[in-house]
Amino acid sequence: MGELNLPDIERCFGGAIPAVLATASADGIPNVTYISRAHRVDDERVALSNQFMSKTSRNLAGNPRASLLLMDPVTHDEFRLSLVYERTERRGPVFDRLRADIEALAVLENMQDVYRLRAADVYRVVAIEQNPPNPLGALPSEVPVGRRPSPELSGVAELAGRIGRAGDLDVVVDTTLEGLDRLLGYRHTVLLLLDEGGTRLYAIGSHGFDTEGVGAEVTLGTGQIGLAAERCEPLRIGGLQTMKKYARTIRREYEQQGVGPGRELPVAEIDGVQSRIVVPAMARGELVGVLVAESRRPVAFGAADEQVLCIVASLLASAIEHVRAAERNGPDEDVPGPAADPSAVPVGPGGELAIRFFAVDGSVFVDGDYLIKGVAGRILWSLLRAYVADGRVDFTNRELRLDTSLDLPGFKDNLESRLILLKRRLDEREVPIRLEKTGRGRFRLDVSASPRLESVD
Amino acid sequence: MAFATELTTILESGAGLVVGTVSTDGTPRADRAWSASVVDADSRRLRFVMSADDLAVVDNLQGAMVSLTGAEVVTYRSVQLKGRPVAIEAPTAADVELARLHSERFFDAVHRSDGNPVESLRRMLPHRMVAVEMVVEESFDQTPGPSAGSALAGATDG
Repeated sequence: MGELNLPDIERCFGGAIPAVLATASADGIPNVTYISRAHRVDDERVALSNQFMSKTSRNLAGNPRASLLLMDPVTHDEFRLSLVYERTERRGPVFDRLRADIEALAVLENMQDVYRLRAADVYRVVAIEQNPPNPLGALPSEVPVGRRPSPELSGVAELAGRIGRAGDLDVVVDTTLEGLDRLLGYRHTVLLLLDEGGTRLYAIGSHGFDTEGVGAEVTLGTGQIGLAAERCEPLRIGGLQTMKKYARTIRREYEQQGVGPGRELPVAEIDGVQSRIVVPAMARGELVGVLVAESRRPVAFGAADEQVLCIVASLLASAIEHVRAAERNGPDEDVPGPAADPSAVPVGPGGELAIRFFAVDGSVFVDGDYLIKGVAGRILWSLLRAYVADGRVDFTNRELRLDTSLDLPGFKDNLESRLILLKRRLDEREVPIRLEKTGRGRFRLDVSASPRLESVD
Repeated sequence: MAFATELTTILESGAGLVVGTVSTDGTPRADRAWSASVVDADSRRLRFVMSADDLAVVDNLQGAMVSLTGAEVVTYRSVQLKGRPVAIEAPTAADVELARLHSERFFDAVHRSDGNPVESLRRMLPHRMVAVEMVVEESFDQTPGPSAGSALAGATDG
């Protein structure tokens, strides 16, 4: 394509001035017609709605070349595009965009039942030339500079749409972290949420790491993640390996004095991490969690990354708060689950599973291995007790909220987040106990072993 | 002749005029025209003045078929005429004057319909024009809708 590219003439695709399309039959008879709007598909293609263009369609079958005149509605500069017909689409995102256009037009005259898009014809642009503007005409006194499209903006827009369509917390988390990778190129990310007491963060999901690291905790104000969360400000760090070398030296010095690090589950981190960015996820002026991205490049994150991740984190925080509110007020919570069978013998198909619960911090060990602690640990313990005592497998969030043994705060209990955390931790550790969501505010415990419970006060 | 009546009606409203030509290798090309008039309805002769900043369009016109579509700015009522040029020449003073009058009528119609400033619209005007006289072989109703492409005077689909 010459010097001009499709993004350079973006205003021409707004539909403000009809375009002109010329095609020709195989035997050289031209056909020229006005069309309401051309759509830019990508940097090399345009799409035209195929509504009343039977002759055009026949021409393209015999001769795929076409000529399209487009006009800038502000400057009235005119551009001639040389096109080659590629394909016709009758479904998919391009078709949907053009269909929305047609439907918007049809609804104005209440013709939506009869005036429908038949197909979207996609053309490759092989050349763009500008007709020389005539000096008899004048440019408008102010030519607004339109915002230029960018991959980042497109990625953020697509991700915002995906987050907006996510119906529950599990999907919100996975959609966001996967979208950050696929749409915006952030390969390694962790999402941590603020706990009920507002003093610690816990990892609820990660992407691009060997282990998911769910359940890892960070105290507010501690480390880079905790500091960013406490200040509710983004934090960008490069050259982490150098910093780590320095930190290791300090740690060795402390260890020589008998002071060692804690034994908490570490937050997931890529090998050889060099750069990290931490952005707060805020909703209604309050911290919901933090989003962390990492890279092996020495200075991977700049101001634009900070802006992009702050937007995504903000959308994420709102989505999480929305889902939490919906779960708390969900109508499904009133629907009782299947009644428990008191005579049921809770024996799973697997072997015996030793579950040890430490009431002091709510930690749970499975066959001697640490699994989880805190609220999520107490939830698991409560569920397993009900399972062993009554054979119950179906539960509701509401009954958990009424369970005083969980020690949930009365306001903002984050129960849904804790359940997701528990579910992910069980999956990650491949424990023969699974949680399955069965409806809004309802879930099922699936135990494929015979749990033997032991509580340590 | 149906085409003459239709074209004249559309032209009087300040229609937008566009031209389709084809190069010898079959590549179509879209351009604008700035005036059109019926020379003789009985012999189906039509004269129009079109942009010729790129002389490739003059090559396209030599011995090939040409299409001219006129569309009312407000109603999109449209007619497409197809035929073979019988004369391709520099515009006469009368052609130039007619093109000036028609383009101003067109710009005025666009301004009244869509609000575009006329002085900006004049940037569309070509630096160079060519006058084409053609014999209309086929004429079609090109108004957007289910009848688009139907023949105006018992001819074939357009």
